This record gives sequence, structure tokens and C-alpha cells, in this order.
Amino acid sequence: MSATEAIGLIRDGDHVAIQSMGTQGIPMTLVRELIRAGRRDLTITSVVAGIGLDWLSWKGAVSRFVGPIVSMERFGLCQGFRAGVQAGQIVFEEYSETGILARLGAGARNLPFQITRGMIGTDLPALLEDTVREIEDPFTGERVLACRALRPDVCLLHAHRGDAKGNIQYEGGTIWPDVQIYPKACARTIVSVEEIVSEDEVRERPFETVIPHFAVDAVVEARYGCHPTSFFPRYVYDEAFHERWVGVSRDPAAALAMIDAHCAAATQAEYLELIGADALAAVSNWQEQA
Amino acid sequence: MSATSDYTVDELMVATLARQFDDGDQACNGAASFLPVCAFQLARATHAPNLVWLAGAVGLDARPRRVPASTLEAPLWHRSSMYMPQYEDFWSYVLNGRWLTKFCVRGAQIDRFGNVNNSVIGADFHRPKVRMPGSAGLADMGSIGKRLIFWTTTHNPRTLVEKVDFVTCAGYLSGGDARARLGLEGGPEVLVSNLAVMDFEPQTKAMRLVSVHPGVSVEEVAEATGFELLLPAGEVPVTAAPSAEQVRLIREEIDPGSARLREFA
Repeated sequence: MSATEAIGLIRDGDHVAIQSMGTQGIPMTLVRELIRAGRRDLTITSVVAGIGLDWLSWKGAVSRFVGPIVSMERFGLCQGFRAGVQAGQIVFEEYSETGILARLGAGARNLPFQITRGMIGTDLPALLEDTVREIEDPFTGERVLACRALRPDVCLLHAHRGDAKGNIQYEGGTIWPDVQIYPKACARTIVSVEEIVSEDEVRERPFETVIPHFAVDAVVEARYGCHPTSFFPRYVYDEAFHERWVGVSRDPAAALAMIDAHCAAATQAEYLELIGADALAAVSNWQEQA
Repeated sequence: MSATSDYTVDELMVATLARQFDDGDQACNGAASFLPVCAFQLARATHAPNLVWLAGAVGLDARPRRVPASTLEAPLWHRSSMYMPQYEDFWSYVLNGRWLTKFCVRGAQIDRFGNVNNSVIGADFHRPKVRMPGSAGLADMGSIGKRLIFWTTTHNPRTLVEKVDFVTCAGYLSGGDARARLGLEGGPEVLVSNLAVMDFEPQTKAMRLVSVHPGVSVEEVAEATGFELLLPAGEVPVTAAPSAEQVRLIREEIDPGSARLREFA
């Protein structure tokens, strides 16, 4: 399926869970396609949101973020998101990591809630009346926090390989929490992959299959589909790209110009041409320098 | 090992943080945690060879050739013996209680009772003056019985405040037995700053000076602190200087690229 067709599954107002760990593993080809589709009023969930949420925020596509943190790690705060929250245009519904994972875990197993001891004593629960409430352990009387089930409309993931049927494989295990929980909690799952392979090739390495085909609605081939973020172990984050972004991202006109220039590419091939062979070689050869 | 005078404050802080970790401990690091990452490796190279380290909360007992520019990304996980899946494995081992009992915490604001803010500056959460990154695992670590070890490279009245604008990570809350009344175990134990070492007085749970770094006066520390810091009885000791061997390990073996100085930019 093309990225355009896959993103066609998403409507204005949807809750979209996006794989993201700071500068790691964001399905940016799908994020750019979401921007190209002009979707509005989206609620986004990520474990550590980064440049993907920042670009969506600058484009006015986001009304709410539901999650624990928004940061590009060594490249600092996401300025578009930050400006949106400070202006009251974007709501940051903030949870601890176990809090958001409890909500998604309940969604995945069709339970009303899961509990956590996280956030007790912090100022967060008081802001989360609709989704986090103190309850008593019926066995011991201990006070714990019930975190209401969360079932986003759709999730966007990126993987190493997939077949046309939708079997999804990761090399090196599922390091990121998003990969393990989103396909079970979300109504639909869209996965971009570095390469589409045959089902026979998938059967050679069944131990690398981490999402079964029946849970996947769309598979999109996108080589370097996480660029400019990293995708372990294939490529590291593009340092120069992030630095260019940090350089323009406090200035609305310059930020939008950089986003639009990269979203103008209609296909992944066009995008990779824009990024250039040298930049792609640099992010791919990281193991030699590590 | 004898103390040396050839060291800088980053190296003093790394050596002081390293002393907080024992041979039987397990440690993990989060984002932009250059000083803890150096400290864990220094402890492993000296007094705590069996200290377990989960690099970037992913790489078990990693052996990076140097400290890279990011403390979350793959170059830090070099030569790990396991990549820890975060959803099931990492959080289960953390929450279990048997392991990873100490956690290093840095925050934009830390107050006199060890509460930490990494969420918002300003009174209105939904229209903040400054929206900061958010809690990540901090809002868990303060509530699940961990022993919290704070560090900051900006010991000034903007970081060390009387009362945080927002409690992202639960410290001793309003002090005294406020934390215990909620049934929370563990809590803040020590703060290693660029000027001094502090702890928390056992009754009031208010922050207390333990030692000043060589060349720093008690008055300077008091002035740089946004609340009245408790003082120890008698003369205030001077923080132990690192040994020549510790300094060599940091400079030559652990962090030859001086990534730790990113925390002082």
C-alpha cells in the first residue's frame, strides 16, 4: 500500500498513537504523509514524543498530546509544541510512563482500567479526573491509582521488515514500548517497513515476527522511514538535520518552510533524493564510529 | 588512593555520584545524563565492579568506547549483554522492588523538601509561562519506593527553589511525615551540585548542607540556594577530591571526548 492510501484511514479528530523515543524510531514517512493529508484536530500519544509531534504541532494538526514527555533529547525542547501549549492551543494531558502504559494496557486487554503506584503524591492525578482515580486494593486496603482504558483510533509504527499480508518483523527485539502495546490497544495499525519481503522470507525468521498479520491494517514500504530519527540497528539519528531544525524551529516562517520543503516530496524516493546519498551513508555507517 | 588537585568540578561531581552506588546495586540512566553515565562506569572501574548498568534503560552492562553525544541512543549500548524491552521487561524489573532501587534525578526545579518539577513554570498548568518536557519516568520513580539521588550543574536560586511550581516527582512533599502518610517509601537522599553536597534532615526532611566543594564557601552556597539551607552541626566539611586514578579513568578511559561537559553548556 502507498503511504497516501494508508494515511487515508485517518480522519480529522482521530487519536493517533505514534512510535517515538525522543530521537529514536519515529515513523517520519507516515508523519509527513499525515501532514500532506492536512489532517486537523488530532490527539497524539507517544512514549517520548519528538520531532514528529513538533512538525504536526507547527502545522496546526494537533489539539492534544496524551503522554509522559515531549523532548528531542540532546536537541532540546520541541518549540512548535511548546508554543502551542503556552498559547493554550494544545492541551498536554500529562501522565507518568507507567500511567500511560497502564491506560494502554487496559485498552489492549479490554479491561476498564489498570492500576499503578506511579504519580501518587505528584500534582498530576488532580489534573486527570476523567482518567486517573484513587481506589482501594480490595485485599489489603492500599491506595493505588486506577488508570482508565485508552483505545486510540490508529497507531503508526516503523519496523525492519514486513510481508504483504502484514506480518511485521523487528531485528534486535522490541526495545520500544510502543511496538509492544499500540497494535493491541489501537483500533487500526499502520506500519511502515524498511523492506517488504515475501511471506516465505518471514517464515525463515519467525522469532523476529512481533506483530501478527491479523492485527495490521496497512503495510507501507519506506526505506529510511524514520529519518531524521534513528532506527536501530540500521541507522542513527541525522545530527546535521536535527541541528538545522533546532536552528529554525523558534521562527514560525523558517520552521514552516523547512517542514513544507520536506513534506513536498510525494514519494519516499523523492524524499531520499532531497536528503542526499552522503547524509544517508553517514547515518548508516554509525557502527564503525560508535 | 591519594587525592589530587588536578581535577575540575565535573570530575569531582562524577566521583561524588559514583560513591552513591555500591557493588550490589543496579543503575539505569535516562536522557542527557552524562554525569551519572560517567559515574556508573567509574564505580564499575573502581569500588563496584559488579554494579549493573542499564545504558539508556536498554543496554545491559554496556561497554561504550566513549560517552556519546546522546545518553539514550544506540552508541551508548555498545557491547551490551542484553537489549531490554521497555514495556514488559524494563518496567517490571523496576517496579518489582528487588532491583534498580536507586535512581538519579535531575530537574528544572528542586525544592527544599526534594520535590522536583520538570513540567511547567507558572501557576496555570494549561497556560504555562514555560512548558518543559514533562515527567517521563520521573513521576513514577518518586512514588514507587526508589532512593532518589539528585544532581544539578546549575546550583542557583532558579533551580533550587523554596517550592516547586508543580510536583512532577514526589519528594518529601510538605516535609516531615507528609510522604510517609501517603504510604510512600524511599525518597530523596542526596543532592550533588556543582557547588556542594546536600542531604535531607531526618525529622523535618528539609535539605541540609553536607559538604562544600573545595574552594567554595558556605556563604556562596547559601546565596546560590533559593531557600534557607539547614547547616550541619559544627564546621562544614569539604567534599573529598577525586583521586588521581579516578581522574585518569574519567579522562582517558570513560569519557575521552568530554561529553560530560555538555551538562555545563
